[in-house]
Amino acid sequence: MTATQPILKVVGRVTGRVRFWHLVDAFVRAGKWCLPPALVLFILDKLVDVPGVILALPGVAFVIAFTVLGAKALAGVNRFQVAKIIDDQMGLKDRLTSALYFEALKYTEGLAQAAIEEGVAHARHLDTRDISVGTWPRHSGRFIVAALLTLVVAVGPQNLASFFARSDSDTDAVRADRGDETNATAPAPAPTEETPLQKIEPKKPLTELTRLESDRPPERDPATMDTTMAQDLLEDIENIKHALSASELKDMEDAFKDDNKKGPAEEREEPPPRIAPLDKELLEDIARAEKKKVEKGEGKPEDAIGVAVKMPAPPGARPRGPRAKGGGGHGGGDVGESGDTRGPPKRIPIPGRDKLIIESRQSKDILEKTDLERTVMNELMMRLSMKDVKMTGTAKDVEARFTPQPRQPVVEEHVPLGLRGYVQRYFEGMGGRRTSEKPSEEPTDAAPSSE
Amino acid sequence: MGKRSEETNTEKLVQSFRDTFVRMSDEISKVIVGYKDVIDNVLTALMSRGNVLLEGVPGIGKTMLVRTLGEILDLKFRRVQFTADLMPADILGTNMIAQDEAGNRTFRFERGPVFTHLLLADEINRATPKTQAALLEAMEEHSVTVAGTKYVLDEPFFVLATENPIEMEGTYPLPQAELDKFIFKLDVGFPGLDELDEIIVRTTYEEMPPVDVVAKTEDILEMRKLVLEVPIAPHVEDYAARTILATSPTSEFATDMVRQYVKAGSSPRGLQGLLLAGKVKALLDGRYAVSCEDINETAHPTLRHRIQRNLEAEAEEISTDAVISDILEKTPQTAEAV
Amino acid sequence: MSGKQNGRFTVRFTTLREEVERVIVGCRDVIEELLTCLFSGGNALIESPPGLGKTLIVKTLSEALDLQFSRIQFTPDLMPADIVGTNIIMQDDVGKRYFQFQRGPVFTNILLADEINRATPKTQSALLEAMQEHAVTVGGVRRELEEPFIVVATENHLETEGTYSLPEAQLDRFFFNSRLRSPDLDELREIGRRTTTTSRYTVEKKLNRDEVEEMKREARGVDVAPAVRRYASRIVLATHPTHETATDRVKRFVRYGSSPRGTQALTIGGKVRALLDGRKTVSAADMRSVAKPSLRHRLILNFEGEAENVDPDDIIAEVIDHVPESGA
Repeated sequence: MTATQPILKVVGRVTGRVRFWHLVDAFVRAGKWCLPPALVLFILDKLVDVPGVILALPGVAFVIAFTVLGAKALAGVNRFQVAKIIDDQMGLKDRLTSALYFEALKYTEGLAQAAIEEGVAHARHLDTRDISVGTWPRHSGRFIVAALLTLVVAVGPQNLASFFARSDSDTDAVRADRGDETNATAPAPAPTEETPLQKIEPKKPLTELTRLESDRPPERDPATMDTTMAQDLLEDIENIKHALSASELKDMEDAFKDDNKKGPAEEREEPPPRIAPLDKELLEDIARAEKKKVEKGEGKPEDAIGVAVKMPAPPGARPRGPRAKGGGGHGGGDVGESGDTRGPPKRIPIPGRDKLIIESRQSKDILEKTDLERTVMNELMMRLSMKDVKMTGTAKDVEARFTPQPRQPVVEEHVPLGLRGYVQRYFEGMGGRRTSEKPSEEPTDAAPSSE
Repeated sequence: MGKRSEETNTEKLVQSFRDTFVRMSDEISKVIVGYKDVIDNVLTALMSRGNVLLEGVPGIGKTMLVRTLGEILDLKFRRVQFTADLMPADILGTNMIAQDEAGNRTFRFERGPVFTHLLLADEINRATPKTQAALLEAMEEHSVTVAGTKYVLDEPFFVLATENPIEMEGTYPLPQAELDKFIFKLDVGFPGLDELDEIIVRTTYEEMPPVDVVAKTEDILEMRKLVLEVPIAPHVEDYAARTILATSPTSEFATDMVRQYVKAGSSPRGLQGLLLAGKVKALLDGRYAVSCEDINETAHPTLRHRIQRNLEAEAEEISTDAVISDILEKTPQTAEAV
Repeated sequence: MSGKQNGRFTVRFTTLREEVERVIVGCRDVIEELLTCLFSGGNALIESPPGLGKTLIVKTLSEALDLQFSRIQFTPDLMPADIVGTNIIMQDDVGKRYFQFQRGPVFTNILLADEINRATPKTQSALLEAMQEHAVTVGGVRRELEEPFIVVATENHLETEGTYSLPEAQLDRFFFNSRLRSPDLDELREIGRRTTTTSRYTVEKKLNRDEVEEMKREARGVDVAPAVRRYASRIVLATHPTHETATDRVKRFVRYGSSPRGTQALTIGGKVRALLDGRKTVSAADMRSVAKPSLRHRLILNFEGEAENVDPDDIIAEVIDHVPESGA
């Protein structure tokens, strides 16, 4: 152990730093998984009363995850690894790492000893301050933003707003609440207050409406809201706020705090309040936009999917000859020359999540309409978890269709060696790794067909 | 005290390896214009007991290269132009009927061109598979078996084979099993403008400069032995092995590009090539052990002919070099505890 | 007395195997199958991509046995004469002409026929005849090959350009079909170490010719109970899709099942396994342990089997799961 002492010294000095950055990495990784659920729970907490135990779960999970990942990361830090980091950083071409290994494994030959010596010599000249081992883990930026966001949500934008209000930068707080978005966290950011649009006290209609409008959290993406409208409203708010006194503002706040526990569905049951005609238009616009979205299918309700299903053939239809189909073709294939007796495919819209094109596997039987639907539904159920399934015919189907016909090639010719290989590779390339069938051999004969 | 002298001995050995190698390379460059890495790779292969396959159009100096190599090492050199009607006996040799003074007839083995040190097998893809196989067997075994008798070839025995990439008609491209026997496949490109100019000068004006003998057989054998002695740390071994496994689409170490474009990956011979070439590189850099960087530097010539592309790769014109670069980028260099 | 004999067989077998393993990394099952073939008097077919060391395995084996070894690289232009030998016209002193036979590489003890699927059918059959008869006939004269004679043929399925895959009737002549697989990380590292350092191991001769012949006789002498014999037959029958005992996979993917040679392989292979285990009689488990190398090249797949790249090993696994050890 003594020969490589200088190397070990350098390694020792750097190890602390390496450990620290490993912990940072473990922290970020643990957080990446625990943040989204925490965020969701905090949002949920503003709508329904989530028991504290559940709220604490992500936190507990985070602690556990961090402990486990951190312990693993720390355990993985061995002297060879640190030496390798130093080697890479300083362009030493594995001299230090190799030297450590050779000593640990007791390589005694001349070259190994020389390698150890050289490593030691280099280690003596190293200035550990030049070694930078810190690299921010992946997605740390997003992680930090998401963490801050969760903090904001947890603390409550109201409190933050009031905090910022004292420092006289209201706009910033509101803007921060609305515009802050990261793609690391799955659900759209949603501050705590779920203030209903229609909750207006008739006493000060205009003010409160605009206040409500501005405070109303974007339960859908701000991107889908009319931004110019938002801008106008913001300006109005500014004007109003300057007009009102602090205590009046506070009163309004308190009045609204009671409402944030009720869900939006409940609100809609209540009779629509008396509102100014201008604002009514506004409301209708918003309602229309909502509806359009739903119809277009961008909202929560699922897309309609089209299913191409081969319809039963009209009675008396005859199959139209061998089906020309390459192996593994896309769903649909060559419908024209088909051996099946069904009619052309018809699209049946069926609610589902993905766009699928399915061919029915029953090629010979004519199905009843109900059978058809059942088959389709069964297959749909099967495939709802998969994406972009392409249906192909099974080999058995193709085989079954061919069996009554003699196994003879249409054209019999001598195939040059090189071309044969190309054809084989062509078929191989369409799927399958083992030897594909030789194109011109009859396996039953004792001698293969001639070249 | 004794240990000290042993250490400087090692240093001296490594230093002399470097010096000899550099001298060899420089001496060849006196005659060959450009192609510095081709020359260096050929010398590396010689030191690793491997053989080289060159792919390049005619007229770029391949014969000159091997002849010069023979001259600087004082080794015998033969050139065989492979043609479609070449028979194995034309390479290995035949048993001739000889009659001695008493009138008795006996078989006498007449040695073929393979009985040399440096063999240039030109346009090997023109010959029939049987003839190719005969050469490659001699290359692998360093011996020739004719009519039941085994004749051992003199060391150092080195084959430089060439493939003509454009005239592919009427050729038999080497199958994978045979390609695998070459440690390196070097793509020799067409010379650049300056180089062409220099070639004109050297070949039409001046006399060819005489080359000195830089090393002899014993030196080469010593150098080969030194290469084998270079140690490799376990983490570099592991990295090289994982790189080889990454070339196979069914392996857990395969990258996405490999899975998409590769039909079959390298055999263990590829690892042998990587390690031996890596050892030579380490010595040339004045180091005593192989590093991961050495492996990276030798990966392309060692592996480009050992990775078989599938049809999709050929259609999209994805080269094996691109796949190798991808593998090197994505395979991590780790150091585990022992 | 017989107990002592069995012990000797095991010791010799193990010594031989260990000697080979000093050179070859991994592939223990292939080495064992190869040795089983040797002591059963059968020939081996090895499926392997290039570079995995088949030449080295066979060469090492021949060195450990002090037997002659030849290698033939099969190519599309290889002629039968390149394998068996030719007659050369010679002229003696008085001017009379006579034929002198020049032996081909087949005159050896262990013959490695590399990439047998690259040669033309005519050349393949020249080899197969020698394999079957242990003799070659050239110019009307029949010449016996020296015992022991074993052929180890290899097929490379990756490179199928310009190949003539052995027809099933010929595949059947091989006793065992072994598969060499690519090494894993640890094996690969060990191979790297063995091939790039100065350590060169010289193989020691462990057994001589007579000992090999003796072991072959011992293997043949092992008893097989009638019930166990029938088990082998039942396994083979179950591989035929038209037979009532055929399993689902067989019915679906197999066009034609194993020939009776399959039962021979199961039985004799089972005998060697029993001996290795120190027993005097073959058990059903012995047969199961050699089922895959015995049968994987004897199943002829149908179109669906080929199209779906079904592995014969899976079919065999299902068969031995389903066939009962006892019964009719």
